[in-house]
Amino acid sequence: MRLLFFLILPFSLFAETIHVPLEAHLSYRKTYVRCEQKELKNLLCLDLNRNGFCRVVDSEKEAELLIEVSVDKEFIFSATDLTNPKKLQLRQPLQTDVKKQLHQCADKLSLELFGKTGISSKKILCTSRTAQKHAVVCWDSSGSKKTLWTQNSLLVTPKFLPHSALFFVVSYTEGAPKICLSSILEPSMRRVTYLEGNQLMPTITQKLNRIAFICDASGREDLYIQDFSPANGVQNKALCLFSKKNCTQASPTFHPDGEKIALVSNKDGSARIYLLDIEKLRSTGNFTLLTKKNRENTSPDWSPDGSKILYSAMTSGTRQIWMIDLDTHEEIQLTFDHGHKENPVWGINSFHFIYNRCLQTHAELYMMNLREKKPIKLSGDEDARFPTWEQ
Amino acid sequence: MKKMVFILALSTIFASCQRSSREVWEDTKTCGRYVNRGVKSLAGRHQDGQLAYIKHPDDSFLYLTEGDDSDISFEEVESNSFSTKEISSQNFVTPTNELAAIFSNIHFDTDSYVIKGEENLTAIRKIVSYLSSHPLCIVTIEGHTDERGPAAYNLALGARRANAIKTFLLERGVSPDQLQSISYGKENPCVEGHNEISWRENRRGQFKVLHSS
Repeated sequence: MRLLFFLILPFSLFAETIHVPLEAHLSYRKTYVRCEQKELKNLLCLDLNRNGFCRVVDSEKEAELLIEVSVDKEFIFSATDLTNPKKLQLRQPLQTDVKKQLHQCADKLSLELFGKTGISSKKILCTSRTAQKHAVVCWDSSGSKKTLWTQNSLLVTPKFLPHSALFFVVSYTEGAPKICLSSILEPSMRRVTYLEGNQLMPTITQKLNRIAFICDASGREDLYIQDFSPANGVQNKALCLFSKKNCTQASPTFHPDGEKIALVSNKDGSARIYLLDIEKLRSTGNFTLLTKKNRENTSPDWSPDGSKILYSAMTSGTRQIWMIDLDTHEEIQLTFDHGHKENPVWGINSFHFIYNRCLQTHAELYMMNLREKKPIKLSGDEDARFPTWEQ
Repeated sequence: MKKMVFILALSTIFASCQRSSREVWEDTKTCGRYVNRGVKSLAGRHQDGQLAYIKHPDDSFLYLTEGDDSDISFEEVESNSFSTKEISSQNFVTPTNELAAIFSNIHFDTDSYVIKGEENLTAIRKIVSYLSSHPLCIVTIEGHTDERGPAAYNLALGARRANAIKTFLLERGVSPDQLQSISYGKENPCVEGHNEISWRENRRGQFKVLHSS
């Protein structure tokens, strides 16, 4: 009897559960926008409808929030709360990029009224592939895009450096994949590390002082960290932080304090997300399993506030986006529709996130926030993979 | 007590039936590894513990190794490390004619990097024989996966496959100077279909050759 009990117990621990999305009954701030320039008005409406708290209405009478934008000699943005006499006004000299100025105001409004830093002015980078070319493409929140870099060889996993226009991207120009540094302001690429072998999936701390990546210089796909500065590149020697025979490590992501790393490993069977404390690992080697609910857990991304990790997990035959709340250790499913979803990435506010949905011919870029949990498609028919969001 | 065990067994059977055979196999593997770890910890050998720094022989990075069953040794790192300067893959060509018969693709099972099967082992023997008799021939081993896995994880899995082949060749006496590896994940399929036959063809290690003078 006891033998039977111990034989069946492990299977019951991994039993599948059925997840049903909760019906959302959300309240929104009804917002009316007054702006003479139609293009700017449409842009602002898009930003407001995507912040997770506002809904733009057609009639001023039903509005609770009135936003007026005037672009003449001066840029004037004013927001009046009609239910509570509160007014936010921003007067600025008119800049050449008025759209950017408008996005920044929408972001300030989000922070002032709803306590969430806005994401409208933040750029998104993706890689894109056509029949022969591979490119790094920069998107803005309104869906317009600009190709930053094109080459014949593969480009994968770009990663923005926090609070910077710089980004890492893995390029196959030299044959094996190598980590390169580039900028959305200047189209050039320089190699970051000079280790041999395949270098993949770079990530960096919020302080910009340390990078982590996967490299097979030793013959295994190991986790490495190395000191780094944006001005001088890598410093000191790379340190192989975790290596294990017959297993694969992937997609490291730093805690905001830079002392912990979450990553994918298949060391216990199916790929799952593990937590690794850099300092503790040096003394005891503790490696904590974070995700227990699903199998094939990949692409973790630690939120800028450090409280949550997004990841992709196989859920009833479809890869969906999940989030682990590190305070409660609860694993929460965020997407439910068809199509495999991968590579989730947090926005600066730890509230919005983006991911790509894979189709047979290409990948689409989507945005979602934790309040509405409603996917918004950002890309058109073009390929948009491995997104990274400016912080 | 018997009733409780019966109810637990019944509920477990129902729960297990919800899963596919692949998921059951993955969970069985996971359980097996935990049981193995538990047995080792009884003998005082703790997994993921007892880490120590050793210096990598090529001096380009520091190695942090484990004291568990993976047993990475200084020598193993040395034998697996690249001793040649990497050559751009643009200089390598797809083998044709009689070389194509020697450097045939090595195929893998889903989510696996184990080289098995008579077809694969025959291919490996031919490659070992050719590289041993042609010391100026350098080979790039490309690791590929099928389209089903996540793109980022497949990049790591592709590297795992390429390195599994590389290690296999090294163990059979091929010089490390003749081998380099690249992972393409699922980015370069050789067959465009979306069925089991195409997936099997795409889960492969592929060779490009360069005859240096």
